[in-house]
Amino acid sequence: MSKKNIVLKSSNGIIFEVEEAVALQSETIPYMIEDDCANDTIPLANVTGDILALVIEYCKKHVVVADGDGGGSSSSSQEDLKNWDAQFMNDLDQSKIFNLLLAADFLNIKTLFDLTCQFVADTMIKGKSVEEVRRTLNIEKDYTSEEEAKARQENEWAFK
Amino acid sequence: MEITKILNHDEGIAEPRMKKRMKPGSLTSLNSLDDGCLMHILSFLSPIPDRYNTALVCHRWRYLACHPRLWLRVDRFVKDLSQPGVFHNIESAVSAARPGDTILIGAGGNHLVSNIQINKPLCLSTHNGILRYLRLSNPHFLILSKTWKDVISHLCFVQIGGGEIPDETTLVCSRSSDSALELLSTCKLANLTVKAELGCCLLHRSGRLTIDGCVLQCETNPLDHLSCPIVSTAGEDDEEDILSHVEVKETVAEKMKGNSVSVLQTRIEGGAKAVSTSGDLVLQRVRVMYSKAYLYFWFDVDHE
Repeated sequence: MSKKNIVLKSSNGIIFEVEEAVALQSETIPYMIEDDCANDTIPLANVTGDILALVIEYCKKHVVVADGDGGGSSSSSQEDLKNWDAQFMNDLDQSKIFNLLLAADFLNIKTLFDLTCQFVADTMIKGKSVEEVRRTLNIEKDYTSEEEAKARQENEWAFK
Repeated sequence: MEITKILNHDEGIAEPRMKKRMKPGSLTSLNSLDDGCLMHILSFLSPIPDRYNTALVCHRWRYLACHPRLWLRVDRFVKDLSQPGVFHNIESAVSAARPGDTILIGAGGNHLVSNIQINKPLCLSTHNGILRYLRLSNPHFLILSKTWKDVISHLCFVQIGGGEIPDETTLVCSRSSDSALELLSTCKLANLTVKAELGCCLLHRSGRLTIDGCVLQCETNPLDHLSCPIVSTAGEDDEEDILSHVEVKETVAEKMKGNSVSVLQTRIEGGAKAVSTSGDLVLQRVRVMYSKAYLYFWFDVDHE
């Protein structure tokens, strides 16, 4: 049986050809194939080439593991995959992570979306003070000091 | 008419923001993510202390961190239990909750409860600040069938039926049990009616308990002298034991040591006395307001 390939085109015009099984981890792509069956190339207007490369790297890794053990992955490969995910995320800078998160949301790849969200929560928010979170994530404080005091007071029951 | 709620912290809700797609490439602030992504990130945080802290970052985060989608809900009428965070009864919601979670008890109707042990910090409420802005025609279906997007887009039009009063949801404690809720950890109860046929409404064993805008009723009966709306046994037994099985960080557990009960604008009816203490706490700072039909109490039960 010959493997069907799917051609994806990033917003900046870079072409990627991937196996169908790799692309179909995205729940958005099947709809785009249906909608756009006359055209062989699927344009992804929201994803740039460097991010799409990361998405494909992730999907390739995950499709191989799912295949390798005939569906049910053994615990060791599950463990490997986890380590791979952690390494994969660790190598990215903050802007790449945010864009990857957006791409995972847009392409509807649930495991990648969860992975990126969890990573942001764990590394950029968890255990940090309010000021640290604002600084790390570039968020402007829009509370007046009265409002902040009030918000603190409301949360107080949990911390007293 | 009920007196107006004095301890009202309604303001400060952020403008509802609609989901907007943004072009990647220029992303440097997490705030340029849309609400769905940001909320998904917040859902990975434990409620105490991280999710509570995020509410202080800015208005938008507060709106999302306190969003109903991140609450647990109890609704006896919901058919589809496959939704995350929806439960048929309070027991299962309490046992599934993470420390610091808010459990929203579906307004309307009576819930029969007895001796539910709450040993992690929780907030039990019929509605909170956000939902005061909502009005739904059928109070049984708070927001259950809707996704958060629907809720936001309907925010301007909806308001909870029944409004401000706690009478709409009653926890009934049957005659055979000691208490409706037994509290072993820092908790907040808001806008709830708790009714005990015999025994007490709330059995406070340890932790800091806040009771805000509730109704506590002990049914009038010949054995009135046996029942008290609030019974506090804090300080009687070794609290180390109780805290040891609460799954929270040590630093947080440290802060949560110490026991007290704070009662704010709460109607207390029936029973021999409003609060009975058998531990080392005493009644302090009592304030009572008399409205046409009811007495409203403010007081603390604390160390001398």
